[in-house]
Amino acid sequence: MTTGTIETGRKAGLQRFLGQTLPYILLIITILPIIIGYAWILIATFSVRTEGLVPKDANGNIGGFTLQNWSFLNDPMIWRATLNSFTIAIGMVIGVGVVSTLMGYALSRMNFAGRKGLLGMIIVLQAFRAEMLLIAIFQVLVFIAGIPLIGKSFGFNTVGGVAFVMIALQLPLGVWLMKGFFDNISWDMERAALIDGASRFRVWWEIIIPLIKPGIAALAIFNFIQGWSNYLIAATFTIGTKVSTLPVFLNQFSGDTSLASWNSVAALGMFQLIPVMIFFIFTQEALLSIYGGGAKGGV
Amino acid sequence: MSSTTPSMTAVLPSKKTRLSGHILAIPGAVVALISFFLPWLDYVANGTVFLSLTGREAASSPAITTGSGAELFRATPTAYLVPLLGLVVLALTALAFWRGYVTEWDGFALISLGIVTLIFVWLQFTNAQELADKANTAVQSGYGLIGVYLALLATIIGGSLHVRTATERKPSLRGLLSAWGFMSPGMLLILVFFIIPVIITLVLSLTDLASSNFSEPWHFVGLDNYKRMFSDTFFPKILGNTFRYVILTLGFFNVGLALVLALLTTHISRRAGFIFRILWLLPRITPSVVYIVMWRRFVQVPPHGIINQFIGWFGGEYQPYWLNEAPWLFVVMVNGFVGASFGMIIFSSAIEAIPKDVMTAAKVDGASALQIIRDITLPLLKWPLLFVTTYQTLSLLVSFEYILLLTGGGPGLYTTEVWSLTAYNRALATYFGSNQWGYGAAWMFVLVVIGATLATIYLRVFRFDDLVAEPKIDVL
Repeated sequence: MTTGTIETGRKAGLQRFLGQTLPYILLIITILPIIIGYAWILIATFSVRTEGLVPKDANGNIGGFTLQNWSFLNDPMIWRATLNSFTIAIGMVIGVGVVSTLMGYALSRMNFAGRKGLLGMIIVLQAFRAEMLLIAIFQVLVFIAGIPLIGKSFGFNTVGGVAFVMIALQLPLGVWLMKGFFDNISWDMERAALIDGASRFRVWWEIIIPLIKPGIAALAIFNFIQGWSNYLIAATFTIGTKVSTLPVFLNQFSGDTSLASWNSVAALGMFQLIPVMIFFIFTQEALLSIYGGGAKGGV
Repeated sequence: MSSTTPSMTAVLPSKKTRLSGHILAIPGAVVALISFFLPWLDYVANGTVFLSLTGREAASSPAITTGSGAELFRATPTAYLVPLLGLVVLALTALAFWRGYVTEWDGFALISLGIVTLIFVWLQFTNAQELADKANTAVQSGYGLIGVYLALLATIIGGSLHVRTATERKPSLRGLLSAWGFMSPGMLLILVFFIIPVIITLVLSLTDLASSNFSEPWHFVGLDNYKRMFSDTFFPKILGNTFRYVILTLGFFNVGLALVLALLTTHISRRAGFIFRILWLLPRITPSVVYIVMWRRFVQVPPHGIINQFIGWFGGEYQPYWLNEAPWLFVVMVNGFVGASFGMIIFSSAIEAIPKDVMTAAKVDGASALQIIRDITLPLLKWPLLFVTTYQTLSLLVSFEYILLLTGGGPGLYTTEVWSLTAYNRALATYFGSNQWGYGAAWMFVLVVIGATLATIYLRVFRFDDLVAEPKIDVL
């Protein structure tokens, strides 16, 4: 009898150990490369050079703390690029937010001819990625640039054009996620409002939008990060420093400088990383609700 | 949790509909079978490919040896048969689509089958001379790919034709206008930046447009670019690389590790889970150039390399340049450490959304953590799992930025070169001295077709009809 209880006690203790400590051990092991890598970036941005993880000064001794790597902050172009990146990121938050809540609402809540076909198309469109359509989109943007008025702000080599391309390419994911959120909202309030004679647009704006605020917030964060850090589209559709974004600037910077100043490149990377990190820390709760429906089949 | 057992909105079709569905399926199946088996049958029977169909005499005639694919096509009357069947499929599908016998979705699948069949059948005939000369493995594997594609599509269509959703009531004109009012901004963007670019890519792929002849007039070259692509010596290698890259990264990181991370971070305390999640998001929000610089630091030779520094601390002697030692390990890891966070976020928010009382009840009943995961969490994660698998497969297929920056397709010849990187190199990088936009567009277009097909297959797995249940308000 006694041995039995001891056995169970020991077993329970082992189980508690496994349940509480093992997850931490596993998580730490898997994340080690990231920790080490970013530790290197952090060390590198403040040192003359590094050997492995150890900072070294010019003579090869341990040490060599410097702020020289951050001298790019004096360059006015970096602030121009930051502003451009910010404009595109905010443009994406607003653009994708508005368009995909409109489309998601119609696809989730309205019955119209072609609805099913469009939903199928939205999924298939996810296969058409920016990377594969670059040449063709380039031609479209050049064409738009030739149109009077619109071309000045949304054509090739404009911040507006880049923002529009990014908004469009983000739409399939945005619409599909928003549809999932709309699917989970109760019909009662909407039905009551419609019977009282409100228009569909008014119902959408005054009743449904306040209800899916968490979903809109989650999508906004996701889009901000995308717009802020996308390199490929911005690099392909812009020429010259006036319209270049932070990632493009970073790439040119790393191309211009000699191999020795990789530490400056790392510093510039940190500079780009910091706003997103701060943004993310304050909004992570909302981002976690991106999968609105939980176990539902809505997504 | 009643929503996990979706109600069946689909009803069996009327006899007439079912019959028309079968009639439609027959030519499609025949085309698929012919496309699939003929190259091999021919190869076995004659030692060469397609000579029996085009005729040995025809093959030796001057028009064939020097002329274009179209001339060869005209010189062989039997060759009309197969493309004709493809055309019939297209016409019948369009008709059935228009008459409402099949849903929009089925129509889409059938039309794409028809188009792709036509393209590749045409390809077979324009290719016949080279096939007869070489019968090389690259071309064979190209046909294998097409055959698999067609067989899969035929299966999907066969399945979907048996079920027709409940007939929808005709909505009022006002309702239709209002719905399209909501849809129009998005539709405009989709038209301008998706539909038109895809068409442009298709047209480009049929031309010889390149930076070397940009100022001169360019010409339509038919399917020459596709011909060149499938007979590229490195085509099988690139195809294999693409499969390896997508499957390994998806399995080990983007879905596998993501699921493990989501389970672990939701199991431990909220605050600790949050810290681990934000750390995992770092690679995603880091600029790609910096991220790759970081990984290059890992693999460098002494004294700069981090891995070699650790080896040195433990007294190891062997300190090579690790990227050349294990290129695939690093390609998969570099991409996987970025990709895992997407699935992690989706999965953990799905796990958080599971009602707490279900978990509490299980714990009260004495279920262990593993039992809870196996019997409660995983079954409820079915939809997010499918979603992440779909989305990440498509992402990985077209993503090349990190590979380009890390290895550039090397070390050596095409060691880590994947399909999308090839497309990029041909079209936009000055890889062989000039930008071959037309040739690159061919690579891109085929990848778009493959992606669309995969999305189509996943749609079937998703049980699309259940996902798009009719809205409950259909008045107004």
